[in-house]
Amino acid sequence: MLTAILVLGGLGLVGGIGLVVASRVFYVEVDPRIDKINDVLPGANCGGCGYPGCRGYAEAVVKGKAKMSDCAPGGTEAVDGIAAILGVEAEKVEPRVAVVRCSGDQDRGKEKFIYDGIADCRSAHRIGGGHKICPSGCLGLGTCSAVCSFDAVVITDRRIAVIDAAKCTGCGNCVEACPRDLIGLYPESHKVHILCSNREKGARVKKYCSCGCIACKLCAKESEHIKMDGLIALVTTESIPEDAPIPEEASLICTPGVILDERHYGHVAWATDPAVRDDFKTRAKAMKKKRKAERDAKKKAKAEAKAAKAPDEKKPDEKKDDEKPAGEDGK
Amino acid sequence: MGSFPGGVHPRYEKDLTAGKATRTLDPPAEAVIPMSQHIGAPAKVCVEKGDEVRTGQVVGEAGGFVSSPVHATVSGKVKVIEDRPHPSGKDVLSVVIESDGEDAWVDLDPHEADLLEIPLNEVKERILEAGIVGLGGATFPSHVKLSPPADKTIDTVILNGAECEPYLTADHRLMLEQPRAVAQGLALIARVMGAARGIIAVEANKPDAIQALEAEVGKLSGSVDAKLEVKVLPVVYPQGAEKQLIYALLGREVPSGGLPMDVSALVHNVGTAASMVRAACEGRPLVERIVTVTGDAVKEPDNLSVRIGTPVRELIEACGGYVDDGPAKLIAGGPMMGFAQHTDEVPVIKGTSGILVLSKRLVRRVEPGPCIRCGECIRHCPMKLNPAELVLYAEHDLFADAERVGALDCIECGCCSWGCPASIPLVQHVRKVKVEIMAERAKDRKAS
Amino acid sequence: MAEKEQADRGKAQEAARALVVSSSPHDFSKRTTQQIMWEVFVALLPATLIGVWSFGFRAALVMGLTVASALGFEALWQAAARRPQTVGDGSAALTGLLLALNLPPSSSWWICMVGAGVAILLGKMVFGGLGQNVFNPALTGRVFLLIAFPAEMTTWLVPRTSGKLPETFLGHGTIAWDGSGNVLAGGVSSQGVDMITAATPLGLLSEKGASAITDVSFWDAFLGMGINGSLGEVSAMLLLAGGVYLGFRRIITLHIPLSFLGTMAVIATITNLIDPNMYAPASIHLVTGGAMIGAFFMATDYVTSPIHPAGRIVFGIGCGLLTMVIRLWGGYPEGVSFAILLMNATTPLIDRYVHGRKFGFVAKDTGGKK
Repeated sequence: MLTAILVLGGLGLVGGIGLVVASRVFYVEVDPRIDKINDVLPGANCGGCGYPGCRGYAEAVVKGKAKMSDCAPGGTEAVDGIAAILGVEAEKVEPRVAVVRCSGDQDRGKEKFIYDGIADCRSAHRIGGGHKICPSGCLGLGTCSAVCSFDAVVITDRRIAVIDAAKCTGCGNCVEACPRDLIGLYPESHKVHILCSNREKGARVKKYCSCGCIACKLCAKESEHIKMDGLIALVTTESIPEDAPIPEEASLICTPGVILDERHYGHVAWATDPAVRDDFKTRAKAMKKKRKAERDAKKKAKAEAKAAKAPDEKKPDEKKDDEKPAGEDGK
Repeated sequence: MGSFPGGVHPRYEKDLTAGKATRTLDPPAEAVIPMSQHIGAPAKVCVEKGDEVRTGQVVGEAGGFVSSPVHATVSGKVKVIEDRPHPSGKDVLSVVIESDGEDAWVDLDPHEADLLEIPLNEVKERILEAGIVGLGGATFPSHVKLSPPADKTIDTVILNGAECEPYLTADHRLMLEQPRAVAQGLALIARVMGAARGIIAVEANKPDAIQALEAEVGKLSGSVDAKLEVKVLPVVYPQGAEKQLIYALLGREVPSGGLPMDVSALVHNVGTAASMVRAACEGRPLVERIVTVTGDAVKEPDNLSVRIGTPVRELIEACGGYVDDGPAKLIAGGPMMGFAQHTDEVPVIKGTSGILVLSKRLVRRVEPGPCIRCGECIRHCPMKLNPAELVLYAEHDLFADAERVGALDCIECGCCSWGCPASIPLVQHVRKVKVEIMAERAKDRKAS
Repeated sequence: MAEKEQADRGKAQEAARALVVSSSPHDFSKRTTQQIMWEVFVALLPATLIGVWSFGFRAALVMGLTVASALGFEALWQAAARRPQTVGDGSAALTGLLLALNLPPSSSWWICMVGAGVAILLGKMVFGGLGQNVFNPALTGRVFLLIAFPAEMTTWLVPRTSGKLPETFLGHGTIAWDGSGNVLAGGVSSQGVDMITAATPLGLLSEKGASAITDVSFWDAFLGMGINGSLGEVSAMLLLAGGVYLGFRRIITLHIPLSFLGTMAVIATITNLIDPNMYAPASIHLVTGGAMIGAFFMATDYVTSPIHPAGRIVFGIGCGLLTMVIRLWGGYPEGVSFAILLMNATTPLIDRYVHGRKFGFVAKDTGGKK
């Protein structure tokens, strides 16, 4: 009994001394700020910053290799935290969220063949250019969802990726994963998104997708923040000042309903809920009706004004007659 | 099992077309000539919309050393130059020629000397000008293969007539119908490379072709320096894969990441060799090839000699059209390595050895099950890789690990997927990994 | 005319849209996971039948109940986890049957169910289902039972072929359950004897040495005449036949069975030469206990054994070695189950370090010559 106690106790003692010695001899000086920064980071190890895990990023920040604003998931909290630890002024960043610029799911965007293979968009994209006829249609196999550390990407039943803005941290992993370049990062304050990336001619787009941008430019006329880039309308990636937001008409004017207005509908509901679409259509109709009424009223007022001014002149009427048939031909 | 480790015995179905003599199809009314019909840089368009072109005229010049010119395959007018569907699945810049129905050829420049007397540099030049690429499917520009670096010597030239790919009989018919051109091609390449030995390798399931080739090789033997012979190989897929073929014939293993010339061997397809002879003697560019149109969803499977650029639809119409049930899968190439197509509007290109049309009955679509580690993929793999492990890394995007266990050595023969009881598309996983590794390497190269 | 043509083209395009596009290859072997499972069932059929014949209707009930429980547990798990139902793939049924074949014929109904539950739930499903488990599920179940209920698991019925059963007993054709009224099948014999039990040859061997089992002949054990033990251990010959069938059908490779049994034979022969009174010869070791069923059906389980042929040989040697160590010097008379489970744990390690040379991995300066 005594021997046992002595042997075990002795073993423990020797081991303990060994540990103490090792911890002294092999002590590595670590910058205490690294641990502190690590603590203010979200700890998701998403890799969005380009460093191996949050600790890797913390080291890089301390060494000055990385910017304190590179941790998208951490947002302003992390930036403030890091700035406090490092004793410098916090960089100003507006958090961004990812948006999938396509809403052509199986019901809206036609497919050109039946894809049979692994559920990976990169692989599918390489076979026959992907199964969507639209060269920039979402394949809906969920590669973006697989790389998301925050569970923010939803693949709907009808196979399209939708990003839940509430969960998205803007780390940008999905942006890199998408083989069709459909995902963009936009400042959080953006409430209007154009959900299409198609750069083909409108007439062609209409053949295979019921919600593709046909480059009619109507939305660009509604807001200075929307610009045409060739055959696609793009919302600026700069921040939009609060006092000059994109008006809701920019969304309502779009005939194929490509433009989502977050002030009225959520991303996921927009993609999945038919009632939302119906509501959108009703509102769009009402808006257009209102516009038409306004236009008519203006025209009427103008005509009346003109009539009052120069009742003898017939030219304007003639012009109108000339225009009409041409307009009909155009249709 | 065979003459190399691994391999499989798929359903061969060569009887559908093996006995059918090659039928020449009229030039198409509209030929689509893609600028990218080979490995390497795409050809550069050298005609303009509205130009009148003659058959055999160059419409795309080689875009670099590893590239190849492409020729008009009908005479007529350039209708449009635009991106068109291509058998690779991508849309590729193509010259579309509207035929005038004349098939008026450019003036060919036959060489006055005898085939085996033509100066070597002229042979290489004529092969380059004729736009000859590997006709077995890999479409590597032939003139590049004929110009190895100075420190490599080639002692053995192998003509690949194995045609291990199921269903296809294009090479079989070529060897049977033009054995003289094939044998001459072997003598020609052996002479160009200064090789002491030339072998035509044929799988044992083509006895008639073997007989015909042996007779022609016998006639030639006296007149050339190299020792020429026909070798019969066991029937096992992928016997015709370059590395496996060299191993079976010579017992030499092409080192990982290396080329056949690293073991002093050179492999060309039999069809390529025959085209080389025509290019060297007649100055005839590569404008046509033999295509096997087969499968259970085409009414009258046949071997067709067609102009490059002919839409696949016309080939199928020439073979009686689709069966009433309709096609379920359209494949450019054979069932093991062919590319599935989504439209029959794609043109025949230089590497199209077959058009395989399968009905619903033969198209399997099963959800992949879990890997049960049965080891079938390892048993079948002719490169002795562990495909199951590669898939594991592929699924988790662990590309560095995949590279470590030999992802880049995969020849994509399809044996692992063929034999997988859980229907896992292993080859597709490995392809994904290979693309990602190469992309990573390109990125590194750019960075450094 | 042109319109019609256009319409036809449109139709053709519509049809073309239905084409299936996938990565090559486009042809596949006929082998499926289910088919593999069924082939193993076929291979086990002779051994199963002789088990039933030897021990009576009871044996069939034990097997049926175990298989049904295994299927039930897997179905329940998948339903609870809201995952697609997988009972159809045959692996759960096979696990159930393999477990049953490793149970004593006298097993109570609750032994069958607990065993199947442990095998399926703890042995397989907690790891993520088919293909993910580390340990052979059937053996996990059996070893759990063996440790938790040693008495039940080491009560061995005497088979009809032993000639030791009273005539009346045989007359009923069945053997009763146990005395406490848990009657699942059969009736109590006229003599009031519920069942007749005896130790297994390996039990005797372990307890008393080789001299105690001189009455056990190689041929009896090989053919399965009068040897008691688990349901599936009756006839080494029929198990061997099943194993050879699997090898012939290329369901399993023979690397593991041959190296397993070979190692056992070598060790048994050496120890027998040293002390024939203490240690039984290889001929006895190979045909008694779980050696055959273990080597051909348990150790060859794909999921839990190495995937490379070379690794499989290492695995087999390890199994044989551990089996003999336990049999000769361990506390249990039989060690096949423990040996295989221990080697299962080493499988990832073996897979990592023991594999063949890849094609083309030759020294470059040899010019590729071997």
